[in-house]
Amino acid sequence: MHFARLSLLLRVAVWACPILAAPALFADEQPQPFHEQIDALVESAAAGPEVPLCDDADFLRRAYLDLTGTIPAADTARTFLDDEDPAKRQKLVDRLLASPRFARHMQHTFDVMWMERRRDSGIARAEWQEYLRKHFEANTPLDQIAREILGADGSDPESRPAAKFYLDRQGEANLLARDVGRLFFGRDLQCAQCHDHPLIDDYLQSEYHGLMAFVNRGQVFTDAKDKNKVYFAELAEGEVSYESVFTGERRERVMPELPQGTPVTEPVLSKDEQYVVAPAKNVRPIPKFSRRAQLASLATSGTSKAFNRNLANRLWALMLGRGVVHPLDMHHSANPPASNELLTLLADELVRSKYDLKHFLREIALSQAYQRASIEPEPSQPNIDPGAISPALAAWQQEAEKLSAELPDLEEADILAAVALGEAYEKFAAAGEARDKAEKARAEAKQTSDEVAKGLADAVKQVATHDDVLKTLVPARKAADAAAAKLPEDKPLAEAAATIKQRTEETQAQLEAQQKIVAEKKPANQAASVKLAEADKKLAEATAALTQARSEVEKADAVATEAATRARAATARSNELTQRIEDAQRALDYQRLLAAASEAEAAAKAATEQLASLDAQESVTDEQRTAAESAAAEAQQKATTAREQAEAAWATIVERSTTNFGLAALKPLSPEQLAWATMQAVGLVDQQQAAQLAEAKKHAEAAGEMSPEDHEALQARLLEGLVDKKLAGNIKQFVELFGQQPGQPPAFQVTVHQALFLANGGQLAGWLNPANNNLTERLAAIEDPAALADELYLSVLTRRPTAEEQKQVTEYLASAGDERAAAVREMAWSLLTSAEFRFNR
Amino acid sequence: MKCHYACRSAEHLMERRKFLGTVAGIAGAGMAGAGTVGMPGVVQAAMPELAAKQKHILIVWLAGGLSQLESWDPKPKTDTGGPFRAIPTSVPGTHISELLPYTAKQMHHLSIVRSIDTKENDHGKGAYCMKTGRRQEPVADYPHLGAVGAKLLSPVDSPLPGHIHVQAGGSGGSRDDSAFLGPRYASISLGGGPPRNTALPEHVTPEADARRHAFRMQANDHFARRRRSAQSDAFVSSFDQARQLMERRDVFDNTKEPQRDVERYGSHEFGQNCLLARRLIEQGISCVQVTHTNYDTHHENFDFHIEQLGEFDQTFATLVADLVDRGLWDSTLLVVMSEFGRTPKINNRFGRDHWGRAWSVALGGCGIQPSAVIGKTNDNGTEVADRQVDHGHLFHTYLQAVGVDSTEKFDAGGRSIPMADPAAEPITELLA
Repeated sequence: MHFARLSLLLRVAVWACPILAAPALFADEQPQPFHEQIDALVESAAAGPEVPLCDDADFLRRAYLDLTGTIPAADTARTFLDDEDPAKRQKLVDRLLASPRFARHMQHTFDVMWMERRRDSGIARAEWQEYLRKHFEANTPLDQIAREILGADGSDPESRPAAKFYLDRQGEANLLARDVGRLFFGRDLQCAQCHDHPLIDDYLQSEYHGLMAFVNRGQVFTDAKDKNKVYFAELAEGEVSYESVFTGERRERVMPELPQGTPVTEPVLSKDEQYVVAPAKNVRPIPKFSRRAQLASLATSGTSKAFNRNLANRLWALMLGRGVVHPLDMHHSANPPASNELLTLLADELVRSKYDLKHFLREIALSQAYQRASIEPEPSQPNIDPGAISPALAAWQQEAEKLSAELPDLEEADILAAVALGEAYEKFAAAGEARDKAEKARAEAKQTSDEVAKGLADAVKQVATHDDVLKTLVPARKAADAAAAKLPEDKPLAEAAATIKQRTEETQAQLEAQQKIVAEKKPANQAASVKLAEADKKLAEATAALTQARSEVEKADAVATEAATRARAATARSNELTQRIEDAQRALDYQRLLAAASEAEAAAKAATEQLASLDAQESVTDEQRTAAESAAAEAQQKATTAREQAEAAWATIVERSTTNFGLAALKPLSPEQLAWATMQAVGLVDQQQAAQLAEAKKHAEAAGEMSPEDHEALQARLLEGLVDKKLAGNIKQFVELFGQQPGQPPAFQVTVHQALFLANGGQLAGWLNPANNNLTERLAAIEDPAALADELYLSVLTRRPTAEEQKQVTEYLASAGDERAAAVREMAWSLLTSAEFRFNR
Repeated sequence: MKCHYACRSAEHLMERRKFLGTVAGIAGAGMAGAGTVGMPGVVQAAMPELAAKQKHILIVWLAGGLSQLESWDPKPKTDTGGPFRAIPTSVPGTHISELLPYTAKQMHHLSIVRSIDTKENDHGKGAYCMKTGRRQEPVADYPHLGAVGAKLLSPVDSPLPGHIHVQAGGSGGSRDDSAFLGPRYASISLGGGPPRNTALPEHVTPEADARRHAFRMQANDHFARRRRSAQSDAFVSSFDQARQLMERRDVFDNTKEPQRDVERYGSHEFGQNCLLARRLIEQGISCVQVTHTNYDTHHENFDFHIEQLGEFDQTFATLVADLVDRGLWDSTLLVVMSEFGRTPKINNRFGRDHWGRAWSVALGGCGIQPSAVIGKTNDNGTEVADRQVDHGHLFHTYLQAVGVDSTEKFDAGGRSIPMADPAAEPITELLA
């Protein structure tokens, strides 16, 4: 088989020189298209059956559902299937990415991804969805959207809906730390129970609290004038502390830090310089240094590996039905990716392409991995190529051996670095406390110094006043004394002289008293100034010590992160290799099991024949017969066991093949996809499109002069908006019945109420009433049963019927006699409720 | 009376193994219905017997907060006791309020926990504590007792919903009370009629229905030849379950109960709801909640309790007696609870306010020691004097009573989540 050869070549080439997959080497040459790089890596990790690409019909339906959230009209399907252009798949992908339904589908997808069907509170869902849709329509880079969401406070009118993520979680710090961790970094950091490795627990715990420190200062602020308007304000205070599960130490003043990142360097600000707008009643505080703004910018800077890998993995899962790491929020070494190289490649490409969503999905859609068939190979012809698997197996075994020798050292280094980090954190906490004390002492010294200085100044002022008075009094006294001496009989004059004398003496005494105070206060003032200078110095020292301690933490953290990253990468790789080795061995062993089963069955057949031939003979003893019977029974037993073993191995091989993207998964439609696909199939969407076309045209023309292409695009956008407005309400029941519980990650679950809704509910029944050229009316008008079957299958299942199915339709119609309309309706219902419709194949 | 039924019998262990086999994963839970094609009649015929073996949980929810002092823990002739007397019951030494004369005669089937302190005085938060066994926290949501019971107690192949709230005007809609267990175990609210969409649409005759299902199966067979998954199998079989449920619509039809019973339970809404609850349990529904409202008596506590308990008492006593008579008592855990009790202090409007610090729950049936009184409050009921417990202990106890090891964990999409609060343990002396 041609592609088997190709895959072998790729597999060996990539294994022998993994660096080949790195795009950088090709910088000067024509770079290998990204989708081919994907395929090289998927192939290199494969150890199962070779599965061909899906057929055109499967691809059409798959691409429509994954990129636009619905299925194509029958005519679209017909045109695509009949198109002989070899590039038609690529052209289809480009057309879908350019269609207005792409933005709509992404709006639903990201709304559910980030809000998990929580009840509306802070921001109305409609505003949020329109915000998302517009971004996807403009193909805004995903890092920008994430930056707006993670940095949102709701104050910017343009991006206010982005605050929904925080506000609809009521700004609750624990919930935010958990959901930011899960949804933006792929780590359920509250899940320390999922595994028993103390290092993972501890590491998750520190990551959790590092994230918590970004968001714990947030608080929902309600506009005093408009109670319905809420913002996500931020304070400049509030520390995170916790007790380490691993070391048992308490960690105080946890610095904000991204998972697998380094602590954020923030300025040490005194209390009076922390705010742009200080908190007060009915005032929304704004800190000078916003930790949340840091979160937004650091996460989306392109350097956060955890952020990039999470996003790449989630986008991959949108298309392939499962993540390279799965579940999507369980990125840790005990749950290794199906292929670490693949995930790394995807994450790097996301950064390289500047988080271009359309580019990323397009490349995935063009990959062979995406286009694999979801049809299992026949178990008897498993299409397993030992020539390709054996050398890969040998290489994996070799690498695994090498890794297991290195692991203990890496783990020890990890532990030592973690302990050192703990110690650095302890010193940092102590330094922080010391600085708080120094700041307080400095404030006290300042107060004392100010008080003493004020006392001294008062006394000096008094001295000056008395001195000034004496300047007048002393000569006055002399003059009065002289006058009194000259007029000894003048009694009043003598009294006046005495009064002046007394005043002079009193003032003199007061002056001396104040001079004494001044003399006393001077040294105290001196001392207070010295003390203040000392306190200033101590504060400066403490600040420097804190800065130093923090840089020690940063250093220790860098070392610990490096050590942990290496240890975890090795563990993850080792776990990944274990899986691959098992897969390869199982695949290689399968041929043997298959042969053994056939052999045992042949032996059983022979033994049974032997028994039968004994029966035909006359001279057979009972003993001979019993022996032959038990031999036959035993052989039969062996054959059954051997067949069961082969079947069990095959089931595992198929399952693992899906996990490794060698076989396409059956993806259940989301509630939104199911609703829209149903409305498309029954003809409701086409009806609305026809009904709204005039309106869309009118608006498009009113928009003024533009190129024909722009005009067409505008009209298509307007039409999509109008149709969505008319039909969006129909999704509600589907979401209620098929969606997850609020705040839970999406999970497929079947309920009897879903089946009852589809079987007996008024909604679907109403849609199947023949009217307005809908599906059932259209079908009923087709005379030829074969043509009718064609239209039915193309409309609902996006493929042509098989000959067998055509026959079934013909028979159904024949047996219905003149109740043809009812028969059409029944068959349409049957296909709409079939597993094939419910799943994306 | 002793609980004859060994909830820890070998038969129970079998059930438990079966449950452990299906508990793995939400996605896996979808498989529970796989392979139960057709033959609804057989299931139905075996039902009464099965219903007795199957464990059930029946919650009587007294919304607003029943006063413990006017019910299970009277304190007559004290400053907090109010005007009512305490009366003897069928259990020597146990007294309850004179507002419950009929219930008093059934007390030998029931037990009381008088030492509950949830420290929660808010309606919503108190209700959350009592229904989920956890304090409400923003980070995680937990399934209600009924959802947990629906998951753990429902026969894997039962087409019937596992979790029903009987409620006036209940139209079959479901609620968000199953958290990570998923919508399959969310309660549906029913008000005497069958769940939504359980009758064929008018334009579909039974023959047409059979035809369209046959054609659907043809399509599914074609698809499953080379493409199938546990999920697609579960989806296909959900239609069989739907058809089985449709055949059993009368399970939900109270009018099938004899007129005499309608009268015995009382013509008021609570009476009819309790009769339906009995019917649902008997027909094999795992978890049922009946609500009686208007206990939030900030004003005129005593008048309101005369009125509300006057309605409650006879109906409830009838329900207990019937469950016993019909052999369902040993397989049905019955709990009477509220979000909290009411303050011992009587306010100036003759009312009592919210009070989570010292109050009572009554329970009995499967796995519960009859005639027990657990814990006590002080002389005037202002605090717990002995054996303080909270919602966590009670939740463990409920699960243990119906034969579930409450220290087990759920696996929710790869997350391992303890069934009950790991910080609490069951009230072992209450277990039979």
